[in-house]
Amino acid sequence: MPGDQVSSPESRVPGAASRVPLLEARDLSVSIGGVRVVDGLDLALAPGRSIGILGPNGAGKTTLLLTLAGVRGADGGEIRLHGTALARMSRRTIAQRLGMLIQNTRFAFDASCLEVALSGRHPHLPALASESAADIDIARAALAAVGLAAMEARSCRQLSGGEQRRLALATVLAQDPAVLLLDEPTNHLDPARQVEILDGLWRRLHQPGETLPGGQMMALHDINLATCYCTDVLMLFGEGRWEFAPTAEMLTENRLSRLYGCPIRAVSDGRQTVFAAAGGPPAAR
Amino acid sequence: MRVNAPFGTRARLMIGVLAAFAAASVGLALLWGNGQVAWPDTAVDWRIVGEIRLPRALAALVTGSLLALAGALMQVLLRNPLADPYVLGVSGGAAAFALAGMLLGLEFVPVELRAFAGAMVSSLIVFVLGRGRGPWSTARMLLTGVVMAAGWGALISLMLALGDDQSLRGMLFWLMGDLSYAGVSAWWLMAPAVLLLLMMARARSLNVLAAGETQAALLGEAPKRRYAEIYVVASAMTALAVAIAGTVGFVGLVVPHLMRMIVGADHRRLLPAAAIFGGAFLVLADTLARNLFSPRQLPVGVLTALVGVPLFLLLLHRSGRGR
Repeated sequence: MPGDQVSSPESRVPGAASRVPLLEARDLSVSIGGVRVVDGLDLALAPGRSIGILGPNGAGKTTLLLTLAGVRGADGGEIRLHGTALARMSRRTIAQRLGMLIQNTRFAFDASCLEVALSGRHPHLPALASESAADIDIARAALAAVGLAAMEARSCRQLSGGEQRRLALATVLAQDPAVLLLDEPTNHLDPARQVEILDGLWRRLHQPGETLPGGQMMALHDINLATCYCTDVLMLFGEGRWEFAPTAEMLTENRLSRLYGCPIRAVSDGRQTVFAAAGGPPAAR
Repeated sequence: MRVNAPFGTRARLMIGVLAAFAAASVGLALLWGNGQVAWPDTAVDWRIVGEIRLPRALAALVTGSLLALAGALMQVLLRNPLADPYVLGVSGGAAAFALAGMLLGLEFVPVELRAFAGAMVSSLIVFVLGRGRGPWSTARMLLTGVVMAAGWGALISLMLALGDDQSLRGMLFWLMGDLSYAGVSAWWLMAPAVLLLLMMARARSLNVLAAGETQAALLGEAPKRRYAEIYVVASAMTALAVAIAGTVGFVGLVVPHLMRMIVGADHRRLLPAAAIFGGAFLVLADTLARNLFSPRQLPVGVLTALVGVPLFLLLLHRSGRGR
């Protein structure tokens, strides 16, 4: 992944060997328009872990991620990034360590793809500095990682929906944060791209020789991507209830059916277990 | 699209070419008058060039620079290439306050300050009401701005009708923009230069802010503080421009648009390019306005509107086609 060779000293974390989680929520409560969607959440993201967030529409997955990123206020509780309270850190310091792929990126002006990806280096550069050759290499590597290497000179506004999504991902990869929050990273992507992107993100977490591997949290709609790419799963049931445990424990027919309020079946072919909503017209179920 | 570093050779070359173009446009403004281009021979000719045409060309240069920069900044604030101080009613607010101060006997307050107050009030209203989210934001922003502009126009007309003061500059100046009475010393070039330098220190932040408030915050900006800075600087630029030339329209729309096509969207190139070309654009527009129908003189705002309105409609049409 880009930047692991060239990362600036402050972007990596002091006390790497310590047992401090990368990101931690303590008794965190979050509301949308007066409705409590997450109540008293306790959760820690350890290095090398990938937490999937599952829940029905409107359960607060996006809101929780934005809150964890510090761009949206919480009702109560505390968020700690590398052991420091998020509320006490500057936006710039946070952005050196935590990046987030938001759900909808709208490009208002015709910047080139390379320029957009380079904006990921913004938090790592002093105010008056320009991007160095190393930064440009990082941005190019990020574009390559999402399959957009050939498009670096293309305007971001001429891309398809899936390409825009991948460009936004390249930006956050160029940012190279230890903590990566992803809001539906596979949205708008075809199955091959979904696997390619999530493979890449997985490799990023398990770099050999990295003193401190990163961690990620991603909101997903596809349960089967969570089985493959998440070490832990956080379920948001709406109305504030949540459950958090390792993936194998969380992803059961029973629990998923409760989560989505519809029957979910596990189908196994001996190599892989796949979850699907019990399908067909009502009579056939 | 650019693929090289923001201050690469190509970018420097483009800025150099634009600067040469601006110098040439000032040269033309000095030599072209009363419908003919002629080298000044007599002492009288030289006085016309030095005391009439030069101050007016400098006024156009300064005004054009300021308006182009203000437009580029407002486009970042509203994340919309259609933003322009005239279209959004910010120029109108500046003009209305400048004029009201005169009529209310507040002439001890410099006209630039009165205009600044008007620009701040007007842009605050537009930014608070016009910065909606979702697919309505363009319509909402433009509606707010256009209605504000109409309102200020009505107020200005009312004040001019009631004021009936021979010392006031005319309707054309306040409603259309006119450089006929304008003239500034070369010192005034400091105004756009200083404001440009201020914003150049923030140019990389502007790139990030153009991606939206949430994205800017995620990339380490404090968006609210930055927005406030941009808002104050853009209002100051508009106010100075209005104090010199009245409400000249569409420079802030046309110039950043053309410059994005030439130097790209990176504000480290866009801002200096817009400042230089904005000045050249208005100098040329005013020179044409003076000479096209000589001895009659057009207010320069007529020409900028004739260029700006079709471009505005074209951009609006394009923005309606999805992304």
